[in-house]
Amino acid sequence: MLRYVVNRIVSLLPVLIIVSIIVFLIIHLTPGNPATLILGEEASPTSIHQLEEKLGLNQPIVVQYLDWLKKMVTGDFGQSVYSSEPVTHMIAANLGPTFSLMVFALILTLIIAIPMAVIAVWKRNTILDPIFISVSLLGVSIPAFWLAILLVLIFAVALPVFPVAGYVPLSRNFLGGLYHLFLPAFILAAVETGLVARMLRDGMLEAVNQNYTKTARAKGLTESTVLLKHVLANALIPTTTVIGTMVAGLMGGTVIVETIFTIPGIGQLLIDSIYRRDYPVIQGVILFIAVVYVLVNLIVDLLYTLLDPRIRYD
Amino acid sequence: MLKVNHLKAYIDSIDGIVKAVDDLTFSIGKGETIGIVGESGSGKSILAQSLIQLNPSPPVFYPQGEIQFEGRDLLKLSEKELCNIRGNEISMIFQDPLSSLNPIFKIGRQLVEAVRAHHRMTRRQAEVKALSLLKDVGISQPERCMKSYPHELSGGMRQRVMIAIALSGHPKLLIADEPTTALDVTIQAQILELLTRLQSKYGTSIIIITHDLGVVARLADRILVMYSGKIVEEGTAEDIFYRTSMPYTWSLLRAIPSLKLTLNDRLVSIPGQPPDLASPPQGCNFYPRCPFASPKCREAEPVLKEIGKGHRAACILDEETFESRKKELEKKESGGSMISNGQGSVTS
Repeated sequence: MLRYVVNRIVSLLPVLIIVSIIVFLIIHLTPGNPATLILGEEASPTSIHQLEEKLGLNQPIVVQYLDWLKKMVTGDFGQSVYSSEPVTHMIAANLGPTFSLMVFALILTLIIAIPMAVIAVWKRNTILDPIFISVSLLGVSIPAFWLAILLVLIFAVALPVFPVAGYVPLSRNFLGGLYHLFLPAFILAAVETGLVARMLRDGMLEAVNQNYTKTARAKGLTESTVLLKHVLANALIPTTTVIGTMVAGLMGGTVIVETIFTIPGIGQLLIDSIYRRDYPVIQGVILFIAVVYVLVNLIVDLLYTLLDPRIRYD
Repeated sequence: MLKVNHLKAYIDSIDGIVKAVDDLTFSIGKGETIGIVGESGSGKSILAQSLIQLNPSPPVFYPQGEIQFEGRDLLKLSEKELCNIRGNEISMIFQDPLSSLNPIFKIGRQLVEAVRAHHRMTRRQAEVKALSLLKDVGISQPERCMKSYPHELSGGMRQRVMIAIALSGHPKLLIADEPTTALDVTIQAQILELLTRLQSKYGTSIIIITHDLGVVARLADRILVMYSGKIVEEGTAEDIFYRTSMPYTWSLLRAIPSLKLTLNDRLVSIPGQPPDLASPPQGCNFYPRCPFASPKCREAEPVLKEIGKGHRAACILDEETFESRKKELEKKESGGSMISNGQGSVTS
């Protein structure tokens, strides 16, 4: 098991190196001289030259990359050109809201998706199942930004049930915080629920026809016990993959939702930094998101061993 | 104890209504063992699952018939009442013991669940009971078995666990649907021996479904031969093996390979395919494959008629004609390169 984990982590290295190269090149692929972009068009050639020297932009590109990578690996993400604050501090400060939003969205997704899938399978020979498929397809197809604006219009403007925007840290006021997070989390969840519920339903429909389900029925268990214990547990295994990529995908989804609801999270930080051409922050945030994505997928692979005893990594 | 009257179990499929079980009548008494024999697709598994209504429904439906079990018609019971019967009064074991156990739960959990399904007891009490059940089915290290997952056990062990689960409610009737088909021959013998031993211990009635004539010859008090959803012959093992009265049964027996065969001999098979049950042939279902068919067979469906005591067969040929036709055919074939290896090779 330990060997597997080590192997998996080693195999992540190429992925991370490729991501780092792309992130590094952002600064060079955007048109214009980075120093000019940072200092503005009116800057004197001397100050531009000085900044280039300071940022190492006059070095060969490979040397620049290796220097940059060395810093990244040691946890030095550099400083914001805009506020001179260390990038790591900025990410850490914005992590709380994003993390709360993601966890809330994930919980909402599971709360909606699991009962939906169970009911769809339980009533599989009725009209409910096709209705379920249509609804989940609709959920997958609706873009988050559109749904966000629509829901704000309905539930914050027309019927002022929820706040239009804003964020209250959960540590300061838990219920108030949840109240502010509900709409954004629901929007993130709505998009993911369709996929998770559909995956779960398909997995359950497959498990329903397996012989072990027949055995469970032959034991005299009620249909609800059969579905909730035997069928659901087996369907959760393939669904875990989807939930894993979903968690990673939520990271990207938060960028849009945080902007719409002005939640001071990682996504908002990224968008603000893009507007400010604050390259060190952009690079740091993207690299951070990529690392989280890769780690979540690793965790999902390891979770399999807990869910399915037949899978052993040794 | 269990009486099936004119049972029909049809499947609503894209190709139309498939008559998987078509007007079947039989009964089983206390402590009795009956064997149901037939080739794949003859409807025997659908029949077995009909008895405790394990068939997915839809597509399976029961347009006619009754299943009388101790004064109740099982077809008329509610789902809740059926749950009280399944695993408790009537249990079932299946063909493939690996896929029949839930792969992600330990044996202990699956067995305890079965024990507690019908008896109010604590988890601890249920575990004690589960251990004694495992010992009962001949598992030598029951504690270790309880902690194992299904894939960690051998095929024979898994089928023993399945039997332990089936016996957990002390059922009056055990339905075994091809219990030994997925196992190798030595394990088969052990499992059959186990079933016989448990039957004499608990007085359970057994319905054993198989395509293996050797299995039923050893176990069954009475044998039902099924062909395309119907019983075509019914009788004791002796009736079926030595007083065969239906061409299909006879063909089936002839198809058993004999150890007396030499390299030059060819295996005997029944020509053709079982009929498409969505559009069965007119008259006798076996008519298109029957070596003794005459145009008369096409006119009407033969009815099961009493030939001897408890021996019924569905064929329009009378005994004498059947016997002479059999001899004719055997003579003709031994004239070629084939040898006859009919009933003589099967011993009970």
